[in-house]
This record gives sequence, structure tokens and C-alpha cells, in this order.
Amino acid sequence: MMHWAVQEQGVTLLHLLPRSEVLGEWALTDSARTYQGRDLYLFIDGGADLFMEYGFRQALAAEYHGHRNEVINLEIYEMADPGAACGVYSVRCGDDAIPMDIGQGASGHSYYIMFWKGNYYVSVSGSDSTPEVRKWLEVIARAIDRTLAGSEHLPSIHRLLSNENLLKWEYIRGSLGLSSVDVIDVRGLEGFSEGVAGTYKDHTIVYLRWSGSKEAARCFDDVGRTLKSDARFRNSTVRNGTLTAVEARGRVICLRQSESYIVLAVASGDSVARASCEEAARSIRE
Amino acid sequence: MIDRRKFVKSCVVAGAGVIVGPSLSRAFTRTSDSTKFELASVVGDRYFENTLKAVNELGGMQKFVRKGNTVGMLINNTMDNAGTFTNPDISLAVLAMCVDAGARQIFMIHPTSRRYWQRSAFLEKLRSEVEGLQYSDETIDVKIDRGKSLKTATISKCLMTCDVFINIPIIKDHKGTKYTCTMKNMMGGCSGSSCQRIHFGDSPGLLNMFKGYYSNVELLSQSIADVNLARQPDLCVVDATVILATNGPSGPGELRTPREVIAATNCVAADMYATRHLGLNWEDLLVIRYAQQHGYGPRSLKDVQIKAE
Repeated sequence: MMHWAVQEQGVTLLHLLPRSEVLGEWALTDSARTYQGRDLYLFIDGGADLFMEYGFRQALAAEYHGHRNEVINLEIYEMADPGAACGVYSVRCGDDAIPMDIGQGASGHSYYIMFWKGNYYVSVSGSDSTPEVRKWLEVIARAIDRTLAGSEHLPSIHRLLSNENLLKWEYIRGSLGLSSVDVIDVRGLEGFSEGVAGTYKDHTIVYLRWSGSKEAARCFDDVGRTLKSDARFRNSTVRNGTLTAVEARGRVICLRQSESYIVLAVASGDSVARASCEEAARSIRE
Repeated sequence: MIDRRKFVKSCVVAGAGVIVGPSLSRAFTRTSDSTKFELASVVGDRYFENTLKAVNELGGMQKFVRKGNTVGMLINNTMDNAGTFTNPDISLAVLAMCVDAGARQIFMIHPTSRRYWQRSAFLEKLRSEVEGLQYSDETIDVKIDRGKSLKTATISKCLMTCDVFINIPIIKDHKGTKYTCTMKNMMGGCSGSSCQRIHFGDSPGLLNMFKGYYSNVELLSQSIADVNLARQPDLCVVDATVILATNGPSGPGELRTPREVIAATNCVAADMYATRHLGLNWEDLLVIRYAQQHGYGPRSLKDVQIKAE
């Protein structure tokens, strides 16, 4: 499901652009471009859906040129709420991210920095990864960070994840976000309102929440039927309320419904997957 | 002042060390009964030169473009982050070869910004050729009789009527179809309303707004295979030099650097070969499978004559 937020008339993101005095020899090329609502498809046709799924308001894109013809691309996305900004960041920040103290969550990569703060998701990327470009990526990111107001909390569903040995987590609001959790390719997991996925050393846990327990139960039944007929899975069984199957890569997937949630656990062994799933389901009831 | 013809020739000579020689080519050439599908790949850091070499391995641009021909070039050039757009060195090399082969008019099928060409160090040498490029937003309605989900499409008139159609995509990650390369790039030659129908079929517009562009990947994949029935490229030149492997198609995300330029005579063969760089098996990709069902691509890479380093 896609979400558009109503945009306040006349409020653009142009005021968030770093002032020229902090940019050294870097100069804005042409004028910054802004996109509202469905116009985002004009900017990132093919990439806009993820932002729409989380709740998108407007975006700003600007390009800066350095004195050696290097380029830095800045993209600022105003999302509908802090959860949307946090969610987009969580599924895009990647596995090789180096955490940075910018915004409420930031990661540095060889040629780009991305972060979120309040309702905003920001990416700053360079045309190369030279020390000069990387230095200015950070200058620009920090300048924008200073202009943004933060929010107090992470999405509350995040609390379901145990922090012990948590390698990374992703906040989900729809099928595109879910598809970013690369261990999960179960068909029929639809209609949930939000979710959170946590990656641990030996397993991955996903909590998906529906509007009520009946809706979650209906989806759980659908997934059970789908798994049985899906040639990519084998040995699909239900035991004590836990649905288990083995996926193509040999990993075991366990699903269990608990109140308005479905919990999924994926691990290389049956016992770890089952134990993780059952423990996660217990944590909801508690 | 060196002229274009001498410049292009000198580029080939300068990079001769990485030209695939006849003996090496044979060593890596898998031949089959079918010689219909040909593909050449050159790996290295000199993308302009390597594009010339890859096309030369297929017999040179004069095999595709005859004197007086009109040429349509479809370049994936709309995005800004690294690894998301076809390297302009590659596009400029194709342009230079078309001019040398005697093309009468060369059209950009998709509008191209000044910013795009400015990213290439070769622009200065080929500025007059770039300035001579033409663009028209005229479209025509095309009936696709064999289409399974897409029966008609509104497509660039240049694409449909040019003598030679050259598709110049980048291979990269894509949230919906898992990859985008030659076949999906064809959407860049379609009108906005046709692109919507490629995503959603004929279901009502308002409903689609809430379902999302990738709510039906099977339909999207089938429609991409269908729209390629309208016209297939005479030549494909694929950028697999620096490519986006995550957060596609817009990035930024993980970059991979295969440093490879691929030229191919068939769009399905090009995609089957190129998707390896994203760690994908082409057998798992619906766009390729549906194109194979239409019968316009090889059933296996064994059916493709591959010349690679």
C-alpha cells in the first residue's frame, strides 16, 4: 500500500540547502529540483515506490560541482513521519555501513553518506570516493543535519527485537520493505501495517503486525497453503501452531501467529529457527 | 586539431593490448549450431576504447549502420548517482562509430541533459557530434499482436522508424524486476501512459495508485517481454563497468566494478550474460523467461557465440 501525505502549500525544502559559505569551492549546478507527491516518479522512476510505501511528502535534489569537475549529488526526502524516514533509511543503509554520528542514524560508505532525522531521509553521494570528495560529503551532511529537528523515538515495534547480538534491523511498512530482508521470499504475506526485522549471527527474526488477530490468522492460513504449493519450499509442516518449511537454499523458515502478529524466523538449522520463532512469539504475549 | 575519424582510430590502436585477438577469441568462444546470437565483451578501464573494440568484435559498426541510415540511440541516462546511468564514454563511443559509419541522422530516443554528456572527458573531442544529435518527442501507437499482457503501446516514433536501433543500457539492481538492462530500458522509449500499463495492465488508475508500481512483478515482467516484440535492437551495448548492486535503480548503494563493456546482437542474450554481475541466475528472472517464451532470444548462453577476454 502506498501513502501520500498532504503537503502544506508553499513550504519547500530549499531552505535546507547548505549555505554557500560552508561549501568552499563547491558550487550548485543549475538550480535545485523539487518533487512533490507522485512527481517523485519523474525523479526516480523505478525507485519511487519504496518512498511511497513508507509515506512520502516531497523531495529536493541538488548537484554540486567541485573545481576538478567532481560531482556531489544531494537528495533530501521529507517523509510523512519519523517512522517513514527511519524505515527508508533502515532498508537502504546496507550491510557494509560504517555508523556515523549524524542525525538519528547515519552510515558512511565509500562514496556516499545517508542518514535520517525527524521526518527526513538524506543521501549525499559523490562521483568518486577520493578523500576530497568524501570530506565534502561529510561537510554537506553535517550542515543539513544542523538545520533539521529530530524526533524522540524509534518506531515502537522496534522494542520487540532483542538488542543482544543484534547486527542490524529494518523497519517495514509494506512488501517492498519486506523484500529488502533478503532471507524472506514467502508469498502471501500481505496486508500488514508494519513490521521489524532483526538480523542476528545465526538467525533472522521478522515481526509483522496486522490490524487485528483475525486478520493475522487469515494471512497465516493463506501463507500455510501457499508454502505447500510453492515449489521453492519443501517439507512444509505445522506442529504445535508453528509452520515450518525448508527453502531452496536449505535454510529453515518457521512462522507462528501470536495475537495480531506473525513472527518469522529463518536459520540454517531447524532447532535454531524453531526456538527463535517460539521465543519471539512469547515476547509478544509478554 | 585531430579529427574524429583519426581520434577513434587512434583510440583503438592505443588500446590494442586489450583487443581480443583471434586466437584468444576462439579460446573463449562457445559456438553452437546457431550463430544467430553474437556477443562480445571487453574488460578494462578504458571504456571508450573498449566500446569500440567490443563492437569491432561483432564486425564493426558498419555491419549495423550503412551510409545514409538513420539511427536511434536509447541510453539509460536519467539518474545521477554513480552506477545508475550508462557511462557517457560508452555512449559517445557508439555515437562516434555511427557518425563514422555514415549515419545520416542520429536521434536520442530519450531526452538527454547537458549534465549527462559533461560527465565524459571525451565530450570536448566529440562536441559537434553531440550537438548534431536530434530528439523528437513524437510517438506512434503500436499494436503488439503477440503480446500476452500488453497488446498496444505508445512508443517513440524515432525508435520505431529509424533504420538502426541501438539500445545502450547499464546493468543494475532494480527493486521490481531484480535487474534492469537492455529489455527494461525499452520502457525509456515508451510514453508515460504505456509505462503505467506495463506496470499495471488495464486495471483502473486510482486503484493502482495505492497498489504501487511493483504490486504485480509477473505482469510487469511479461509486459516488458511484450513491449520488446514491438522492435528489438539491432545492436545492444551494455555498460557493465561500474554498476549499482543494491538500492536500485536510483541508488546510492553498493557498487560493483566489473569494468566490462558488452556488445550483443540480441537483447535477451545481452541480459542473460550481464545479470551475472548482480549475482543473479538468468533462469530465475521472469523478464528473460517470458522473452524466451516469445522466442526472440536464445534458450541458453550455449546458443550465443561469445567473444570474451
